[in-house]
Amino acid sequence: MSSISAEPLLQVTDLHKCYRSHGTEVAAVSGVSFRLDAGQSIGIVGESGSGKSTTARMLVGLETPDSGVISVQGRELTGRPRGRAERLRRARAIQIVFQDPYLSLDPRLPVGAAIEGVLRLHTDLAGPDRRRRVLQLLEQVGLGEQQAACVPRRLSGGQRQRVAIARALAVEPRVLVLDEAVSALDVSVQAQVLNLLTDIRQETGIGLVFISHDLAVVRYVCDETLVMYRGRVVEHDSTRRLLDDPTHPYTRLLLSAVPRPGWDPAAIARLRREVAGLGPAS
Amino acid sequence: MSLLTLTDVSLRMPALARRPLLDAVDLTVDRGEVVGLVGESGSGKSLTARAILGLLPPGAEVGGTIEVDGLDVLSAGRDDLRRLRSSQVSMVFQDPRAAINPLRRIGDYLTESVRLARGGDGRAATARALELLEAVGLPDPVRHLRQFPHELSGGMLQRVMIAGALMGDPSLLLCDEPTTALDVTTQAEIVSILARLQAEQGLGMLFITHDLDLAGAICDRVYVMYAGRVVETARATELFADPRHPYTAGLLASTPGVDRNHDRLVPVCGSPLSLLENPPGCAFAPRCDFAVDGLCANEPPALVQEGDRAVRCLRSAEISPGRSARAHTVRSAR
Amino acid sequence: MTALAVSVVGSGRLARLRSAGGGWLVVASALMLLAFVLAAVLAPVLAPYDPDLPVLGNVLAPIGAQHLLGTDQVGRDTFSRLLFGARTSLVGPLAVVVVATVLGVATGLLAGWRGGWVDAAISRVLDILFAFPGLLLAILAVSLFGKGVVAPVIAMAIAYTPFVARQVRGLVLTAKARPFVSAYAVQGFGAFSIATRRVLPNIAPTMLAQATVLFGYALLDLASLSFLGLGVQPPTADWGAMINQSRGAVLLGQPLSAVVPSVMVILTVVAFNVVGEELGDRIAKRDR
Repeated sequence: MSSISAEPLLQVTDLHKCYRSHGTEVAAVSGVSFRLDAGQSIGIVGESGSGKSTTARMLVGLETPDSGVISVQGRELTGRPRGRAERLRRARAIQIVFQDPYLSLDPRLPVGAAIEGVLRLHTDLAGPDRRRRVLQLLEQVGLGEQQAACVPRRLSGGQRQRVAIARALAVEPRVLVLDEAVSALDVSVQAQVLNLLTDIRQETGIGLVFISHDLAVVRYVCDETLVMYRGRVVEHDSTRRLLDDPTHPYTRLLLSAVPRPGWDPAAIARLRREVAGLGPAS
Repeated sequence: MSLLTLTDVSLRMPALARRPLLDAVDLTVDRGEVVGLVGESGSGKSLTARAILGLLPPGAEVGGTIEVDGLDVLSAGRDDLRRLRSSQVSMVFQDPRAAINPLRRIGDYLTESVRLARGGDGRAATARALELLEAVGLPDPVRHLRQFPHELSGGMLQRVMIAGALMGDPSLLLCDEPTTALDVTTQAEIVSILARLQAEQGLGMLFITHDLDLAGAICDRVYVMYAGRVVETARATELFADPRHPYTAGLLASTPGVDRNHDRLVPVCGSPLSLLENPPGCAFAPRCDFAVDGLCANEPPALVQEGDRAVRCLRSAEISPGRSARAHTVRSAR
Repeated sequence: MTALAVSVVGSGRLARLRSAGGGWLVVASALMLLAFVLAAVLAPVLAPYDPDLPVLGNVLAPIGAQHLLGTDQVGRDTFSRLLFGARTSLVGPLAVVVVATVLGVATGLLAGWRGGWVDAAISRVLDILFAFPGLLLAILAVSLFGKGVVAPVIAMAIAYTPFVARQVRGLVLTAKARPFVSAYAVQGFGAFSIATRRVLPNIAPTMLAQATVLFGYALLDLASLSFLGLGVQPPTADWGAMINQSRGAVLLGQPLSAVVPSVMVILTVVAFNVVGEELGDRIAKRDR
């Protein structure tokens, strides 16, 4: 369970990011704030254009916010780290697991070597100790020596995603961001990875920021959830309360759009048009 | 007579895979029925759709019969196949941007196959195209005719693809993961359009998806495929309330629900069968909690009818993989 | 280049190439190139005669037991000249390709990786260079620095650089967009280290295929230069020079000493194209 400490593990305050597109300014993210404590997991849900992926990229430094503060354990993270020490410090604060496990692994390297490369960068371990740690990490995600020697092409989707998680954990980050990390996996494999994430959270006290469009998965993984729509946070509550009794119309719309027996898609379509004030179709 | 009947269909590609890509597939779709075909990667569901259209990859060895409205697809000549694809069966693909030529206008995309098939001037075809664009809920059909695909969003383009599929007045509509690439609210809209048009025109629809919940929500009957075989089929409500095959039960137990709390999901261990593996017995046995040594891995199980259900499991009579926890949420909607 | 031929032929790939339908052409090309390289290296051992020694009593001899491919207009054994000529004819293009690849990779990597004004500036310079055909630059270089091999080779390398640079730039841009590069950045690797030690090795195989094809074109250009009398100077044997010097013989109705080096040039260029394209196809297929 989350430890109650004065200082949050991750504190995000008033993030903003705009893009210029065809001469107009598009607010990708406006005023996103939240806090994450150790061992907690927070979900960010939304559809395309909601700004959730941009937020994820800002958390790990792939994009620089126009304004706002991201701090881990009280220490502010700069958008553009200068110098090796700062770069490494930022890496140890937050890591990310991307959606497509095939594209996010170096196609040339056997996965064991890829993880070892990360260890060589971040630790002073000697060769044999490093290799032992690689096997330890792989074991933690349910893989073995045989997989360590494989290039990503030879592994299944689920295995690749586990490697991506192991690689992120090798840095020993405080916070792990998962950007649609299970969306590309087969259903039967998805549960394995979700359980793995729960285990890791309990074992290491790492904080999880779980970005997804899938409300059911978010319910399983996340203690709290933010709902984003067009760059803004429209609702933020404990996950169960949010999904059992949503307040904002957009949350209600998202919830009712989840397919299940007794579903009425036509009614949802109408709800959507009301909520967004959109035209008849988009 | 059913609109679509697959009888003992098998497909092998020895150059590519050691196991059959489709094996003893039996499937029917009647007029006015929505049938779901559910499976993960490697299950053969997309291949089944292509086989129905006679679009088989080179080097494929096919067995069994596929009948669409009386026509035997696998032995049909080129002209028959062309007629089949232009006016009897249509397919809606997953990615509209990949399936629609980006260099041609929407109007050309919609009318060209009809003009080629029926000849005559384009005016009748254009009128029909406008009619269908309106039916799929696009706001400005006349303008859309002149636009190029890149000017429309993914959701709008998928609607265009649906309109294109209906241009030839087909009696059977194949939908291959039509909403997988879309947002969940856009998915709802597209599905409602498909359902409405299907009901209005009394089409038979084969809805292929990996999303069990989606299939359960919109289909009358569902087939579950694993490693090229149909492992279970039942009416949607019954399948969800009482899955008889360990794979179906495993899928249902390992998918989190948006309205339920789970302490821990029960995953299906292992991963879907690769193309290089060709186990002699049940393909699911290595991952099955109910597999019996010496039985399941040796004999390939046969599809056993139980009323209007069928299960391909040697032990289905004696085991109860579990009444799905979803029993209480199932309504008699469909 | 030897390494290239060896890498194509060796390690069991010969069998696999043969099994691929139509692969006989690639195998034949690769083997032929290997033979040419060996011939060039072993020329002093293999050549029956001194390539530079005129024997005026035996000019324009036909194919025979004494002279495998006849003699040229001053009585030098064509076969021996062919063998020695392989050295200059193959080394020059090699130098061009190596220099062009090094320069091209450096500029393309810089442009693609940094983007922004760096990319814009470099691309404009490359555009200007594109306007000059290699041969023209080489002739300019000769007029400035005198005849020989060094000046044209350098000029040609500069002319070829934009082709390499542009391709590298494109490959780098594609790689930059792939999540694995972002992943490296998030893990804390520095930009320079990612670009050189992680992106470059990923695009290297494609560059190798490109370089192989470039070799053929460089050979053609340098041979043309020698044909014009601006490259390798007599009496040194060089295929292009041999064609030039045999012009008189052709007019006399004795084309053999001109045909033989021409055929060599053509065979070599075609072989390099075939092998290079096959490499490129295989790499593209592997990346699928």
